[in-house]
Amino acid sequence: MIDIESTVRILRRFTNATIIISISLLIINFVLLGIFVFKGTNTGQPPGSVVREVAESLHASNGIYSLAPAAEDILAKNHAWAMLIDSTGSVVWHYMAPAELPERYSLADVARFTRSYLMDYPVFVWEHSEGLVVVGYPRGSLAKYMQIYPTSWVSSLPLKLVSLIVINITLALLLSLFIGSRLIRSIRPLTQGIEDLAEDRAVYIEPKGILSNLAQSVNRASALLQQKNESLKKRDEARSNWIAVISHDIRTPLSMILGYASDLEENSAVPAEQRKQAGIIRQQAEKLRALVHDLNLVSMLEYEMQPVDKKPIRLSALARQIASDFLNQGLDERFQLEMEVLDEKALVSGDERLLTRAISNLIQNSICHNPDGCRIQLIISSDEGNNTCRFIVADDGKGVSPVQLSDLLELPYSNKRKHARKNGHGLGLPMVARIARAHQGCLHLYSDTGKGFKAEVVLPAIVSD
Amino acid sequence: MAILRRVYSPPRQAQLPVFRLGKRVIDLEGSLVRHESAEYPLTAKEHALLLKLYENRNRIVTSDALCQAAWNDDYYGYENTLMVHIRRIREKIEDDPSSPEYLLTVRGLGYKLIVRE
Repeated sequence: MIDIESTVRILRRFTNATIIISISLLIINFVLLGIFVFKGTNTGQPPGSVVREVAESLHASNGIYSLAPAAEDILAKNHAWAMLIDSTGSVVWHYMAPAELPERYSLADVARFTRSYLMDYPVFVWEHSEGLVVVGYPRGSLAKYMQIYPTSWVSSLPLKLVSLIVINITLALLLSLFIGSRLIRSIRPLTQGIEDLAEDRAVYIEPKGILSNLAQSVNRASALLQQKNESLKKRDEARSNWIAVISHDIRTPLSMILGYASDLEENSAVPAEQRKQAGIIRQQAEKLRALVHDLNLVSMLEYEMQPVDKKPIRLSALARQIASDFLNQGLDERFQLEMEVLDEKALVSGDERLLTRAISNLIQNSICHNPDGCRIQLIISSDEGNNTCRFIVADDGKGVSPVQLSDLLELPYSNKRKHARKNGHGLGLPMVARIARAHQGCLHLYSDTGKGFKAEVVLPAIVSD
Repeated sequence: MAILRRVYSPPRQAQLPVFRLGKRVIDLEGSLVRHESAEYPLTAKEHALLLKLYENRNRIVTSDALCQAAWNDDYYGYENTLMVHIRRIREKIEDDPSSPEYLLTVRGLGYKLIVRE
């Protein structure tokens, strides 16, 4: 599930990024515009200063006007011409003025060209002690505009600029929110799909919108995963079935061996020696039967195919039943079985047969590995902190070295097992571990040479009232 | 007619056991203990407990199994009740109820009825 918090986070980051981008775009635009305006309008000296310089460097001496060479250079560079109109309206001096220009100008003419053009020449004027200096630029080289603004408009200009920026920012924000929410809406099925993939569920996302390619990839990945799972499951099933079939096939001839061997064992017509041998055959065949059964059970548990028939079980009752069974079957006097119920209420949801099997395996282990006898403790406790119950089987026997301890949970003949097994068929503890796992629990082993062996089955507890 | 009667007649009740413990005879069919021509009736719970113990005679019967048999419930909460009932049974079947000879306590597990046949 994509939660609301991450959605908000994505949206916020997206919006921030958009705002930063828009603001920097705005600034860049202003700067560029400024540069263009500045560059474009400032090719050479502005006409205003040209005409002023010309006016200032035009001097009259005895009715003859002379222009300073520096001003002449400027005019030449701009391909401009200049003239001086005296107070009567006639041209008294000129420099490179086109011949088509009239010699006299009325007040109205002056007013007109001051504002706009003189015969299409863009002209600029400046006052002079003798009259009016006019500088003309080549036709079509400059455009003259006269700008007139109301004072109220000029005074409200800063406010207008600020509101322009505010409107820009608001627009950018809204736009980014809109685009962001659309993006999230199109991403949401994808994230959902990817989370589902991670949890091994089948995923199909409608491929649409800008992320349709991605959706198709996720769909493909899901299909591939499902296919892989399917084939893995099939293989596991085949393996487990194979073991089940083999063990079933072994059991039939085995029961015949058992039947005839015990017949012979009890047949008084058979000599005592042979009857003893028949007894050995029966015992070994019984061992074989138990082994085949265990192998099948472990294989079923390994591939999670053992049906686990769960119901509420009180661990204390289970422990008493198992201990009684061991005692009823005639436990050797060398072994003492002790019960310590720290929590009578400890309740788990479990398969009684499997749990009984697990605990019996642990007790049987202590009995098998300590032929000189030992004290076996069954301890039931519960840990309310993490809601688990413990079934502990501990003995004060020989124990095993820590090196061997790690091997005990691996299946015999598995390549994870570093040392060869010494006794037993090696299925007992792996079976307990797998039974614990089938109950969402686990098995912990504690031991050291000469310090006894302690097995702890931790199972999730049912909270009882 | 005979066949019909045989088929539809209620199944014959299995005979409940009658057994001897030392000088006493425990008659579960009649739900009483006979001792030297005196008769001590058994209550329903005592009867249920004794039946369960006899069915598993010479074997340990867990307290849990006994509570299931008598009260159809978990042992948890019945610890004292069970102990009281066992004492009453001992008063009826033992010569010396405080050092029992037939109905033994197996510490931590349950009880065991010793029947020599």
